[in-house]
Amino acid sequence: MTTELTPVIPSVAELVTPDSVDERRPAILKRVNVVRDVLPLAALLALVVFFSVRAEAFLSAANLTLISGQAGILLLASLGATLVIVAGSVDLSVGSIALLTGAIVALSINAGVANPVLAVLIAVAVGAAIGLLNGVVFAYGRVPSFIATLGTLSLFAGIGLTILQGSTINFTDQGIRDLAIGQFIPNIQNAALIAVVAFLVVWFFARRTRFGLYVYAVGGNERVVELAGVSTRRVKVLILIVSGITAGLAGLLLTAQLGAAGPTTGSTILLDSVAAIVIGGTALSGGVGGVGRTVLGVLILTVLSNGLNQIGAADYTQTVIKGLVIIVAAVFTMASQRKLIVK
Amino acid sequence: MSTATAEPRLQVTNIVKSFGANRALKGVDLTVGDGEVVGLIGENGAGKSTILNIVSGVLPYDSGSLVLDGREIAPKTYQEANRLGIFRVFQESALVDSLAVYENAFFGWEQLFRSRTGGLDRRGLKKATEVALHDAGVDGLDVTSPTGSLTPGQKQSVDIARVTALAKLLEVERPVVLFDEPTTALDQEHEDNFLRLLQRLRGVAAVVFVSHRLPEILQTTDRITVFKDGESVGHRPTEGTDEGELHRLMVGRVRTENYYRELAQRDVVTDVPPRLVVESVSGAGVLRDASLQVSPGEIVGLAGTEGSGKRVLGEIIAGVVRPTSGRVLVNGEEVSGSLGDHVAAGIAYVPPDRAEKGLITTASIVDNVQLASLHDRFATKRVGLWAVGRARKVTEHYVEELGIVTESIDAPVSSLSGGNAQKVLIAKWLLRQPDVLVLDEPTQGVDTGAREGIYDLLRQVAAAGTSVILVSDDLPELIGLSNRIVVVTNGRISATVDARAGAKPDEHDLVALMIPGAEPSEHPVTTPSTVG
Repeated sequence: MTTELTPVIPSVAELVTPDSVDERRPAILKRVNVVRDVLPLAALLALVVFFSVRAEAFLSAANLTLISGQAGILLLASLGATLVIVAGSVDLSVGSIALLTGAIVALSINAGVANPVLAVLIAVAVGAAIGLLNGVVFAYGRVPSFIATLGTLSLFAGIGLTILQGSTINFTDQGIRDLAIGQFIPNIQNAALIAVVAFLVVWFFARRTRFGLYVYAVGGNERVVELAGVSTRRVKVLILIVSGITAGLAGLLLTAQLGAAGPTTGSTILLDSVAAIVIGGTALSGGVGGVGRTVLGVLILTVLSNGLNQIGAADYTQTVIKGLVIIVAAVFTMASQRKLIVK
Repeated sequence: MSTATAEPRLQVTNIVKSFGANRALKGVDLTVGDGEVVGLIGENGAGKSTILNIVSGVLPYDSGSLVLDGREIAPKTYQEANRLGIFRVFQESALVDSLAVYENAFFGWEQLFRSRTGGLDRRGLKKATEVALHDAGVDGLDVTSPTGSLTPGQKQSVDIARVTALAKLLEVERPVVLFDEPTTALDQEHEDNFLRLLQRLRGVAAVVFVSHRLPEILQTTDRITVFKDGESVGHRPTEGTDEGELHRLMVGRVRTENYYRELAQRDVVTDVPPRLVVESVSGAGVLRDASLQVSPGEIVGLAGTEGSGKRVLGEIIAGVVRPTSGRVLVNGEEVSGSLGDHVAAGIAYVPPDRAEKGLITTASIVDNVQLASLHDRFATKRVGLWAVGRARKVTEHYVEELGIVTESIDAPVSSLSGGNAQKVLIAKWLLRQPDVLVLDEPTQGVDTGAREGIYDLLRQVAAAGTSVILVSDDLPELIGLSNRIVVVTNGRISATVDARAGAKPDEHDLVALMIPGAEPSEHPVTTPSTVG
């Protein structure tokens, strides 16, 4: 080091001349972490190989189509939830949002308003409204997200059940049902197509906008973000709205897939989405992970569930296995993080 | 001063410890005799804490030998070390603030206080705590009060009392006490109390005392061991050793005359309007009616004891704390409102405690560097599309210019050393070309090499016209870097000391100004100038 006074603080404009920067350069040239990046992929491949050997029907077109639909709905529900978890919070109300959305859609269809576009708008509106409420209570009311969304979990499940009056509402409108089970591309259910589009949107938001970086930063260390002069409240409200919207869409597609909305609609969404996120490798402590990993988690969970059905495993055996997989995945996620701490 | 006995109580020989590829200890030696206080010094990362952790059973070691009273030991837990007679007074008080004093006193040893029903004997615990505090010379402390309500000095007394009491309880006659000096000190009463406690310990124990404050080490110890980069590079009797010698051992070379880059310090230009004006601000229930003017390119140091309000003054300028009255102006324009408004007005703030407030350690270098500038420099305004390439380019520049040692700008900040992490934090704000740069303890936990880099940088930043506000407990640093030092006592600006190059004030004079009631100094001191 010398004591010569050279201008070391040039402006950004001086540093960034048009020909000095390749804007297309990929943002994240992360080094490959074996445990974190390779293991989920290897697990998925192993499951696919195992079930294709054990069950003939597993690789059939019909079954793969079925998997696409199941995975699509779970992915949709997990997209927003992933952002919430990356920010170090949790949204417990996703199942209730799905239930309420399903109930309202089913009711409106039977009232004679069966329009797929309208149904999507209803799902987005319900999800966004509940997400906004969650976010405001969390960020401005300074109530921890766990408690805020625990409250709305009960509140909107109750309203949904009241609308359904405790029973299942069936409908037959093909336009609505095709939202989920139609095949715009042969052998891929539309639910999967919608999920992929939603994935791309959320991925872009998370990785290519400044709010996306703020989400990661809030999960990493909220105080640092505040001291950088950034409003963390807006970030928190925004992610809960996104989470609400993806949960609402998942509820719509679930209802469309079944052709019915009932008291149990969405009841497995919360646990399955958290499981998929954790299995994918997103840390519940926040700051690390992302929707790309959640895709892997969703596929692992769906293939596991579908494959166990194919080989005739009992329902409760499936529950046991799913639980074990979640625990093992969480242990590996923690292990891969510990490696980051040097000292 | 007592002398070492022939037989050392604790003998550490050739201890090696690696964390992965990093060899933290490369074979260190350390001995301490009964009734002896041995000072252990070294820079951050020299391995001082690691050896204390090994001796006290917190960390295992790879090879070498650990002998206590002639017996080879290898404690696997802190409790096992306790049973062997080794105790620690931790750097940061190891007390849980939310628990009562008596619940803390024997924390981890509740099994020694069983009631007849097999539960916790709270009455016995309270009684034992009262006795322990009395024995340690601490009286008039309610053992049922929450520990969080104690002053730092009282906490330290409790910390030390628990060591001697626990030793007695475990029937250890003469314990070996490993004493990690608290990092936040400097309040005179606290300091006296601490030295008194250390003196008291000397009578009953063998003490290893870790400190980075050389005058204190020279004053309190019998012998001194110096660590550098995981090796013990020197053992000296305290008598006949001086600060210069110790510094040379710690750093490996003589500290240069120009350590704080005094030669690069420029005289303040006074014929231009001030860059920063602080008009009688009060805030946080501490600071009252503080006024200050800072010229472009001037470095103003804020001095004061802990709790004096110097840190609050820095925080008010930075916008972290909102003043209850008064105002802050940058380039003649009033700045108020949120922290975001302060950032927009050209103020940058490097907080103390970078892991808690400064950096997102799980995130990459590039993400940390761009965090404060995404809204106006690296992303489009409305949608916030992220100009990834620009941020990378800028980050690469700073990594090279500030000499940040890393494999890649995508490496997480947690993989960096303290000095390199601090440079990342400073780069985050420098790229905004701030008009006013507020730094709070900018070299805390930073090794010498990186420190000098940061000093160079601050001189360059000042030369570029930025006004720098420096809050630091490191007085030589404060004196060396500042053009002017503002002393805050009891929430008020009590003195302003000129510190132009070649006419630097003396450390002792500054301390006298910081502590109310101390004798007046002979150094030229100007009374605070009022804004007008």
